[in-house]
Amino acid sequence: MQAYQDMVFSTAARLTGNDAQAQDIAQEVFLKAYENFPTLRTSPTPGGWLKTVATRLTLNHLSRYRRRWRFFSELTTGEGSDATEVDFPTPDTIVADIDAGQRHAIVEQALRELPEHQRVPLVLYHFEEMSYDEIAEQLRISLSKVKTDIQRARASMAKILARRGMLQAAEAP
Amino acid sequence: MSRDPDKLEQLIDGLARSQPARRAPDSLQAHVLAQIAFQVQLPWWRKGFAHWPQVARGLFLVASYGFIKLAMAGVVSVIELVRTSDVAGVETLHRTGEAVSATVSLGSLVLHAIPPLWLYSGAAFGFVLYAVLFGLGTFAYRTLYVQR
Repeated sequence: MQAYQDMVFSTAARLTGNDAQAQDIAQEVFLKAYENFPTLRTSPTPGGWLKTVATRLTLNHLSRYRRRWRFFSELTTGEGSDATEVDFPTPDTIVADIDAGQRHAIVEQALRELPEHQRVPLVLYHFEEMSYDEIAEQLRISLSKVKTDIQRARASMAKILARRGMLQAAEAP
Repeated sequence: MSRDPDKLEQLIDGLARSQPARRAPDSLQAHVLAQIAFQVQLPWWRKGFAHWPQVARGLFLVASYGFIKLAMAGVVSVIELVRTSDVAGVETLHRTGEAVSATVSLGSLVLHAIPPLWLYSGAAFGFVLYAVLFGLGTFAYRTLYVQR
């Protein structure tokens, strides 16, 4: 469990943007692993199994609460309306004098600040390395919406990172 | 500044790839082990069907089959009873219909006796109460659960 707990927790935390919920989900993942221990023990890729279950349980968790609270919880926080347009210049160069630990913390914070409908596809694509088709299938949304949401999420993230002093505009040649 | 989506994708991809896994809370392992210990102590009938002993699973399936047969026999008996019922049954049905009809007529009379303004005010008041309750529920969810 110790070998995989950080990976499972990271997957859930980045998708939910909430550490307490991520801990509950991680706990559920390891209980499922315990129930399936005989098959998991002989599996050549227990890490892959745990990652898949963590992703599936997190998405189930998110969709359950999204349905329940969509009206007030998300409309009021701007979900559904995209404040960030794609067609604007974004900072594209990492500031050199920020140490790695600080940079990692800023990236995690930026992920938490993204609205759920941008964060989830972005994390699935860039962190969980799923394809656009797989994401569309998992989230039950169209391929074009996945691409648009990810593109907007990247732009939003770049803006947040720039605001926190991690990105800057490249100097003109 | 860049307007190039490919460059932005490379930038975010690079950041994601260099991002290490988040450290799980120290309490996670203890919670999981406590939950497993709790589940181990549970008697078999409080666990999932897959964890039941073979004999119990077999008996449960036989009992389920018996209940289904019994329920089907019950339905057939009721249908048979209705088909062969005497005039008294039809009379009861007729009286029930009349009672329902009288209740609906009374309700309609009462509804027409109430001024429309009262009705609209009542409906608006009910809607406002519903919205306030929903808003309070959402506020509680967002402050107590989401922010946790």
